[in-house]
Amino acid sequence: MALIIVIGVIVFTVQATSLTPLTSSTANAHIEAQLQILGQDMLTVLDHSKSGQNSSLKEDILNWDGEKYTWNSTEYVSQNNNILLNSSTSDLLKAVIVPKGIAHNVEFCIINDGGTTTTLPYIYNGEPSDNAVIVSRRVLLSNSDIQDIPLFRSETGIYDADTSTDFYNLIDVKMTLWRM
Amino acid sequence: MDNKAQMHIDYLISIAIFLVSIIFVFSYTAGLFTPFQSNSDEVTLIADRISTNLVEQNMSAADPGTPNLLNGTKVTDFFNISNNDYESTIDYYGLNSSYLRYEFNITLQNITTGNIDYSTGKQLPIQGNIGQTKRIVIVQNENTGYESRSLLSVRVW
Repeated sequence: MALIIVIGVIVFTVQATSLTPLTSSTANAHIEAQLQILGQDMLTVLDHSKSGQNSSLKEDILNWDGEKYTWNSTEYVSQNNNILLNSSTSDLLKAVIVPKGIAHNVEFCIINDGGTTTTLPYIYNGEPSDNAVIVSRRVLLSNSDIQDIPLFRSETGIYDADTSTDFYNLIDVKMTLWRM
Repeated sequence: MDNKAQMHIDYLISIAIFLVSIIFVFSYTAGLFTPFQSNSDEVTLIADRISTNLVEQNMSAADPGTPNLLNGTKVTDFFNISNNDYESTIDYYGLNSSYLRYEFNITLQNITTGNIDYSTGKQLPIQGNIGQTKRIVIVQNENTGYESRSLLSVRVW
């Protein structure tokens, strides 16, 4: 009997303490909403195509060399010490997100035939926190967009999903934002 | 026997009641102190609403694929009207009523150059809660077709 009461009180204590207003679901709702607006805006701006041209986001995927870039407080640098240049995504992140001190990852996801997902990190700054916000945008790649298909395939790992048609692959650009 | 408390069971029950009441108070005290804390909930919501209104309606170039593409002429018009007649702009956005009155400050900063291209509204107060929403937009010059990326900041207090 005593044991049941004690265990009951402990269970109640553990359950009750998770309901404080400092829990992420209540106090940080505005911050999460702000990050979501910011992220969605950035992807929309990047994916805006001007009069039939490729969008900046698509160009960045096509120009990608397959390396994982990390912010070193001045530039995005890969493990092989290459600096990320000619990338609208990195320019916009540098101008908007970095001065605010918001940590960010940008990943390219492909959904495979079996339904599994392959995630390729483009900009990676570490594991996101529990309150991270993810926004995404789909980008369609066609065979005709890519200049050297075998090179692009070997460098990035993004493969031709349908070799019989002009369809190359559908990339889910996933941006994760969180407060440090 | 009957007129003596059963030490173990009674003690446990009383401690359990005590702990339950402590937890009850703790889970509600945070709510008790909320009115004294800094709270910018309502102004943040108003700033959100005004920024959405501006970006997706008033200044919008009505591009279905890119909701945050702005028409440069409409952007200039909005800032001119607001600078000429701040009061009617406040009224138009529903910030002025007989009981409550809010002020705003709206700026449009060019991301590439870092210059503040447009600004309107009152100077920010030194103290008090300010709600802020930032939107990243593309401003399209209607004559040249040139597009520039900008940061629209809406602050309400």
